[in-house]
Amino acid sequence: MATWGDFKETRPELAAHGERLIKQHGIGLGFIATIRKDGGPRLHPCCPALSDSALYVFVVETSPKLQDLLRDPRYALHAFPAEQDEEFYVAGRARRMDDDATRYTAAQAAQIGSHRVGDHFEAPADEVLFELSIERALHTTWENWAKPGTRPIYTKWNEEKD
Amino acid sequence: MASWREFAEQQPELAEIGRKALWHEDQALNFAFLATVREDGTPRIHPVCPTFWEGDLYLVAEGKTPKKQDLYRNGRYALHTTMSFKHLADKEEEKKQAQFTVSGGAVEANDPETRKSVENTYREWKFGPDEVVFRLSIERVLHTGWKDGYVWDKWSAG
Repeated sequence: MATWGDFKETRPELAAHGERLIKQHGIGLGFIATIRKDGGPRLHPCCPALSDSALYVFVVETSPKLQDLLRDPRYALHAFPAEQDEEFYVAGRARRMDDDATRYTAAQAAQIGSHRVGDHFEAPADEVLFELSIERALHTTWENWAKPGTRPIYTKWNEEKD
Repeated sequence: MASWREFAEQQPELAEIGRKALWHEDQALNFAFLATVREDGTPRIHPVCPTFWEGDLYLVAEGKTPKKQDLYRNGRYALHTTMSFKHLADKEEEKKQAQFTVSGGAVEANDPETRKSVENTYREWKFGPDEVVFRLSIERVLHTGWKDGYVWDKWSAG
């Protein structure tokens, strides 16, 4: 399974678009979809974090998506809406990461205001960290955006087909 | 599951918050995010433009979009309002902004009359032959608002 670092090495341009769109507002922002116990989809806003080599997300203990990801690790993540409807989307599996060093790295990458302690960030005890693997990625821009004859231009990556 | 209309009859205030969060009259297109379930059981996310007609909530799956097949096969969906960016710089804006999420099942409602009526709710969207209209049933609703801190209103259909 590919990490963000593997993905970036294989498809640097696509990963750069992803990083730019996930961090377009400074802090990482996106919508994450998980699968509920009853098989239906769940959709939540979240603050994904990008280090040099990994994509992470902190999930508060009380969030129903924590149980979703522990039961079925498959996720999809979409960056917030961007200028001219540019889109970035990734999907893969979420793996729980409990070791202190990884949690510390992820907290520095996430830069979430409520995690700030003095001049650095600390992963709170009541938030569980997941690393998100990358199985598929999709970047979309629009030709003739907001004009007649607009059409999407897709750039895709699929780990299995690479 | 309930129709949006039934939900609004039982919870008029919450439904009005949801309608306003999903649909603004002054915008040509109102975006939201839709999660569906792929054939292999994994989740998928797409931006969509939901709309209301005669008190019910509709969605249009355009062209060759894979969400159309997801909805035909499974029908389960979750829909979440997008958020404006103002709130990221301005705490007061964040407090005013409603986050609204609704989940349930989508059913094709592509008869000519419904199709035409739903098309007419969009100022600038003329449907092609591949566009398919779905009516969204409501299983669960969650509204996140602000009243001296975040507050949550939930509703589930019977």
